[in-house]
Amino acid sequence: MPKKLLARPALCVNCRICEMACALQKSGIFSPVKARIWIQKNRKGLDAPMICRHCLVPPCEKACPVEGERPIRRDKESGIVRVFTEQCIGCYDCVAACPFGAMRIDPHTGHVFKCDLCDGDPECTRWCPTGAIQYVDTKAIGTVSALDKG
Amino acid sequence: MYGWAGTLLRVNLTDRTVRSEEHPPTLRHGYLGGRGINSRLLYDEVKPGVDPLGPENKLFFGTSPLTGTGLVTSGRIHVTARSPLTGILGDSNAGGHFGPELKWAGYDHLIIEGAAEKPVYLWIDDGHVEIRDAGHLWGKVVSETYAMLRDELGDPRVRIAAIGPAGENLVRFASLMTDHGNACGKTGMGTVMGAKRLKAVAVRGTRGFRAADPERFKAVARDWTQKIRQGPAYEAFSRVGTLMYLSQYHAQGRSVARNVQATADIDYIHRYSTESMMKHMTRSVACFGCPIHCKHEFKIRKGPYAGEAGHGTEFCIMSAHGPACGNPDETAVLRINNLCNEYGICGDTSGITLAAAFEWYQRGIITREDTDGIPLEWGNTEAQIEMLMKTIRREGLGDLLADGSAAAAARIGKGAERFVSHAKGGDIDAVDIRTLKGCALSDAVSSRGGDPQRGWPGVEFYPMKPEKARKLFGNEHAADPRSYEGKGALVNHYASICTLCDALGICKFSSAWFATPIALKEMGELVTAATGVDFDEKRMGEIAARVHNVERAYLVREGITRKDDTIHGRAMEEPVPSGPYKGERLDRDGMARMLDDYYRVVGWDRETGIPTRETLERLGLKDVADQLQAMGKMP
Repeated sequence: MPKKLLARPALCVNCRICEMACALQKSGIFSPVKARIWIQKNRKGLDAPMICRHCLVPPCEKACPVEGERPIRRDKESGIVRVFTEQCIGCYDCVAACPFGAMRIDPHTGHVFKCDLCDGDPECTRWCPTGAIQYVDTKAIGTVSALDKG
Repeated sequence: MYGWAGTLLRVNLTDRTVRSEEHPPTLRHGYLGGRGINSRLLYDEVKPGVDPLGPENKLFFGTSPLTGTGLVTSGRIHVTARSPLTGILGDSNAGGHFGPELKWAGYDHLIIEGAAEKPVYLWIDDGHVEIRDAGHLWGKVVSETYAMLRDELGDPRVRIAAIGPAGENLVRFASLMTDHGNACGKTGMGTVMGAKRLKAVAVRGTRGFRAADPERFKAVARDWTQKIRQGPAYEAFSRVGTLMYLSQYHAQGRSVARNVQATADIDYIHRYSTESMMKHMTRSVACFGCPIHCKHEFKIRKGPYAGEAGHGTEFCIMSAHGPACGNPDETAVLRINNLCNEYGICGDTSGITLAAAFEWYQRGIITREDTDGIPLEWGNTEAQIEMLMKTIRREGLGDLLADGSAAAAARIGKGAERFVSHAKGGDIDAVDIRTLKGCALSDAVSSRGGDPQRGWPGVEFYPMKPEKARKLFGNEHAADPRSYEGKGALVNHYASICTLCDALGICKFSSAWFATPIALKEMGELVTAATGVDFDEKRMGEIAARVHNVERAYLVREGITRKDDTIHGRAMEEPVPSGPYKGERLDRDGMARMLDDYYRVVGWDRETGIPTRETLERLGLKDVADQLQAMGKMP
């Protein structure tokens, strides 16, 4: 099974280094609005990394009204859910549909964009100083996230 | 342009004009950013003798080429103006997320001029800058101001620097709050905001900026994050932050109970131990871009303040409002911490000021009549909180205290000034300066008055072998806290690091001022990676010296000379009463020798403490030398 990003809010301290790592990696500029990952207070009041889960049945894909070949597609082999901006109509239904706040809007272009796991080598996990974002084997997700429970 | 955003934003509140200016290379390359450029702008644009509370004073907000990059603690904002507390250079910096947001909006520096007729706030939304009415925000505490502004501007991610009621009431040590619990506390930058009737600056920035070499930058940034994490103090400091110092200073005999009348031999000192404080802390929080995350959130579970929760409490406020005020209840200090954050008053200076008032009361210099019936008796925490609120509201004795302890003592007379410890009107931190001769020198020559962050040599706190001290600082006694020898080079070494941290908007706890291997050379590498301009160790040293000399020239222009480079209060008069340093004090002859040595090291005239022409010209400051000459100030 492919690896997945796992957020551990209990370890996050809101330094936002991940946002800068992502923005720099993906757009070459320092500006968190270009980042695919961002930190936001969750319902428990903890600072939590908002990350794409690359869902098996992605709500963003489902919400997309474009007919024919959709601009949001999940690659079966790698498990990566991607946006193809050429076909995107900019309705933002996918942004509203994502339960994890992982679909973002570029304020400069109006396009939506999202995490693509840096094609299997996510830059953010290499920068996170506390281990609040980890890239783990799908088999291990249950075990690792259980560390913060109970 | 890389690293810098490239624009200075100038806002005049009197005629309500907004102007974007190109960021000149002379400033960028000669002073980097933050405190460096702010200090030069202050020197150039604020004429000598202006009223700190008048429209001629200006307020400079500065970021740096590292601010907002995500690299090592790059989240700070530096604010500078002529200080209403000390009358000399005033500046203070804070963490949080405001600085980066300003930079992402496209501005390296924000210059506020003039004064508004009615309360206003400034709204910066990338290129859109607007002066807006703040009548509805005036009088609100800081968290309410944040909530109302974010609601009004329709974006919860707007970052805000705001003042509270203390700044509106022109309390001379009002703070400027950025995010929850981050304060530009010292020297009254919030007071200058209040005088300009500027309640807040709200920023949303999306434009961003570029690095010269993104790949190299990423490599350097990751490398330094690792180095910080592997530093010897990282593990403890990331858990407890500056609260670490509480127990250390008690054990070292450097605590200052009851306004420096006692050390750690008070019966409630255990309540101020690091571990005792940590019981109230619920989680760690970081400023932007910081792998250290030394701040906390806290919640009090038991006692009279049960349920009180808040952000960020540090060593300084714990010590100043705790033992220094004779306060036996550490939870009361957490309550005071919240009041300081909400009303926007410096937690450190307010504590030191109240401590002096308590001692005046003890000695009968002031009585219940002066305090409107409030018994300022050591240990009366209710009285302490009441007097703090009266200071914030400028009522009764609080109106006097709101001008700062040195000014209040001068008004009160009766020898009150003997019990106020300060240097140039800046309070001495709540650590016993008599036990640290190099720190005393640093306080005496600091460009913003008494203050540890200007270059206290931390090695004096921890024993160092004489051979090592000789190797590092050229004198085997340099790191000995009791010695007056070799302190000039020692203080200059740490002052250079601190100056550059401030100019780069990075936190001193990620530098060689603390236990992290980031000094001039490494800072140069970081700036080079961000800007593409080559900054080696030598050039970084010159920049630190240049900033330092421009600040000194500003002070000289305001009339400061060698006679002012001293410590006021009991440190020069009375010995330490107990503990490991019993009997130790600051000796006038020793202080004079340290000053001679320091002036020699930095190239200032021995008799006057004024930078020599040779020193200024070596640093490319011929214009400054010429101006001082024309004013008849040159030695």
